[in-house]
Amino acid sequence: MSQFWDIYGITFEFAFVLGLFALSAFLGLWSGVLSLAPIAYASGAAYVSARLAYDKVMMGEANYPLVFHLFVGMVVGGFLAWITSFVLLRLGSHYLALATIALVLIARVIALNLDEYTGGTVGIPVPRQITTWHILLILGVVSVMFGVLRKSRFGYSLDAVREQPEVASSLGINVQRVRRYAFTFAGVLGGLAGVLQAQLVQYLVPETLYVELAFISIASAVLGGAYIWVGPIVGALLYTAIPEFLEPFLGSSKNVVNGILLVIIMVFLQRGLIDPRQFRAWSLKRKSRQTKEVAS
Amino acid sequence: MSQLDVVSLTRQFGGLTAVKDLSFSVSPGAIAGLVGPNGAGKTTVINMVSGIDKPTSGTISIAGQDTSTIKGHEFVRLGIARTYQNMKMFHGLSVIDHVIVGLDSRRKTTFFHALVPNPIERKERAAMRDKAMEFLKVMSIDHLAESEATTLPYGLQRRLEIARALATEPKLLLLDEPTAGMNQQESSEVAEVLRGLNQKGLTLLVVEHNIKFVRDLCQEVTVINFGEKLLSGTPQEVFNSQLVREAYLGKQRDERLATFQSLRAGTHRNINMGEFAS
Amino acid sequence: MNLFIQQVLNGLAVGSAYGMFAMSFGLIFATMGILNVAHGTIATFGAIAALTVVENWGFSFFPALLIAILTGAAIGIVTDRLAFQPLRARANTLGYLITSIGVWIVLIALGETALDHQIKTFPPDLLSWPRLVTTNIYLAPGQIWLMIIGPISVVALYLVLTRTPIGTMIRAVGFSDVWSRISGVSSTVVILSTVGISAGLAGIVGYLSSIAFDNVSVPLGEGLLLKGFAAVVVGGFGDVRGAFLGGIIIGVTEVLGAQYVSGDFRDVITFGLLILFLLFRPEGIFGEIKFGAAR
Repeated sequence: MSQFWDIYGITFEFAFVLGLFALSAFLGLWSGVLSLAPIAYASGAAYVSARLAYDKVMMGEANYPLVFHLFVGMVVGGFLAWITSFVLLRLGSHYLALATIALVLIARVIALNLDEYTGGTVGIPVPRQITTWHILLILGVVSVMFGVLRKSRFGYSLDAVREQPEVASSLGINVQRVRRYAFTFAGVLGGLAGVLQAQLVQYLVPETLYVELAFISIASAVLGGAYIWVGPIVGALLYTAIPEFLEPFLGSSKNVVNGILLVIIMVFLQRGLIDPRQFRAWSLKRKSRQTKEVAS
Repeated sequence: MSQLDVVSLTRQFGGLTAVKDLSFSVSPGAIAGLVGPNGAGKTTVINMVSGIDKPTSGTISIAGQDTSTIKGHEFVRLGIARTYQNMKMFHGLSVIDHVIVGLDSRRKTTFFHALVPNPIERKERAAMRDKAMEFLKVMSIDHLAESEATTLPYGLQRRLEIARALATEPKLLLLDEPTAGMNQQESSEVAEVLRGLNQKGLTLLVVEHNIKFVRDLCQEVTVINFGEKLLSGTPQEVFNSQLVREAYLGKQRDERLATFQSLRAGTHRNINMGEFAS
Repeated sequence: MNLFIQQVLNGLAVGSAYGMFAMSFGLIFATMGILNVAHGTIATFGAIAALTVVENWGFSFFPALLIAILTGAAIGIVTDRLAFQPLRARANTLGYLITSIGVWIVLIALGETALDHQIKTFPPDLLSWPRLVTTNIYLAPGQIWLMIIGPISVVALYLVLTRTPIGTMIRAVGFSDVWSRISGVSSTVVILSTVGISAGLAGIVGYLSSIAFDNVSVPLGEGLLLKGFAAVVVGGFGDVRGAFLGGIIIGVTEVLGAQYVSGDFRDVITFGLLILFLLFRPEGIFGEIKFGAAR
């Protein structure tokens, strides 16, 4: 077991953090918005946290505690998302998607040009404070949050806004506000995940949190199923794990599997692997079988 | 004071005038009808009255209050609820969840209650389920609470849609083609349900092109064609008028054809759904 | 002054590449709603195929160009049949985007394998004309061909789309799939022609820019994708003229900005322009063709 962990531990750590990114992408989709923006906010948050740590260490002092860095990440991510949401959420769905991709591209350019603070192309080292258990704990807490969210007033609003925004509005739901909350919360999660990712790679350059990761986080969410929070986490685990386990057979083209998997999922299981509708169908079937048995 | 006052309402889409200088009103407690052939602008009117669309000019007052500065999602507070011609169910949500969404405007919890498990949220959730169940009972679909809404037969989806609208506790319910795609049996059942709601004090505005349905149900009728009012009055006055007969029933053949087709589509659908449900 | 002219010419060459790519990328998005992130990699494959025939069989410039077009079109059509066609009845932008991410991952892996994870270049004797050399101005043959073929392709594509029956059909599918079904035009033919034209054009861009920038590699296509994407937003994806113009604007401002403002600032200008357009004129310079759900 411990040998297994020695080999694959780091893979799982990345998978769990990708799970957080996928959840932040899922929040957007849940409010009916295709947004890659959380990665941009993650980048901002990671740089702020990394810089704070760097300055401390350079001064020969002890780094801030981990909790402080996580908090900074969430605040920065949430704040950036909140500010930009006023502009972005005005756009129609196609343009919104384009604009959020643009935001990710711009975040890199800003990071490159603020080289006094970010180190530009050279980047900035990030001291690692997290352990696997920290990451698991964070993912657990976030999962519980999503569980509560799903059955709360806000979760119902999100469902309605995603499926029929017009109807939601005529039932008294403020669609723009629901979307803005979801967008901001996605920014908070993105900021959190950004700080974690930076600590995992222990070195932050403008391409650490960039388009590839944005695409992969959306892809994980859709692969696992973007209709319940379990989906994005499962998607992220599969997305990271499958190529690793297939490496002995496929070598450096191991990532091809993910590409093919994505296409297959989209063609045959458009709602992803985990679909709450399927659960409901099963539980109804079981119930009706039970009542039949009782009747006979 | 009228429940609804529409004064010289006009709506243009680009160069096209969908509704032109339309005025009518609905008295409290009435069942009013807005009729006209397909494409007469009925749905456009309903969209404006329910706050989904804004008029180009003219005013809409609900219980005496002018709505020109009110946002779409705030119309609920004025006691307006509506149904849709194509029903617009929430894909993937169960029957009872639809009604719980409809209860949103009466919930007290905020976004922050949704982040950590807490008793306030839990208590409200239970209360909302009970409340939603009551509305399902009113529409006699409480036994289907856990089914997925979009798998229900057509007629039951109509009932659910009305339950969802009722959950906002409206004073005025707007129904956009409540019998579209239904057979005779189903539409008279809907009429019965609506009459029951009206007797409990709900004002209804029904948009239809099914004349028989309107004649049997409504007390006041406004006829529009090409976005303009032809006339209004009691069903007898309106449907006996020469003007309406010419403009509206002159197209009887087309109408019959349309009704036939929608009927056929409706029955066809019901058969499929019936098989699926059993 | 000479320096200024030199840089404007450099900008026009780069801009032609961006513009051609933007046309082909925008055409797919406008007519079919596919935001195809694999499109840049298709351009890379155009370059890879051309390099292969040049190195192994000594193809000259024009036959290799033809190979680049055919390879691009073939890859475009194959991926469309395998990955996008099965989704067509029910997909939305998100579905297409995810699928194209899948295609992109596969193509990148194949491209890296084909290139053996290296950056390669075309042999210098492939193209020695036309060349513009004065005391202060130098334009390489690759740049000149970009500036020649770019405008030709925009005019040709515009004429095809507006003056020919197949072009009308392509635009009709862009307007509404239902319309094309009613009019009895086989949507398969239309879709395949659109994909063929678009991906073939991507193949041309990949080939020409890999000569002009002396770089055959997977990142070449990714760069084209990002800049082409910016050009599409600036120019508007509904009109090929707008998309090309968007590419020219971005190419020229980028090169001039790098010269006169700051080299590091190059991308700030590009993406600053991008944000401005998204905020104030999201439909681009020429506006968009209305497609999808008309409201």
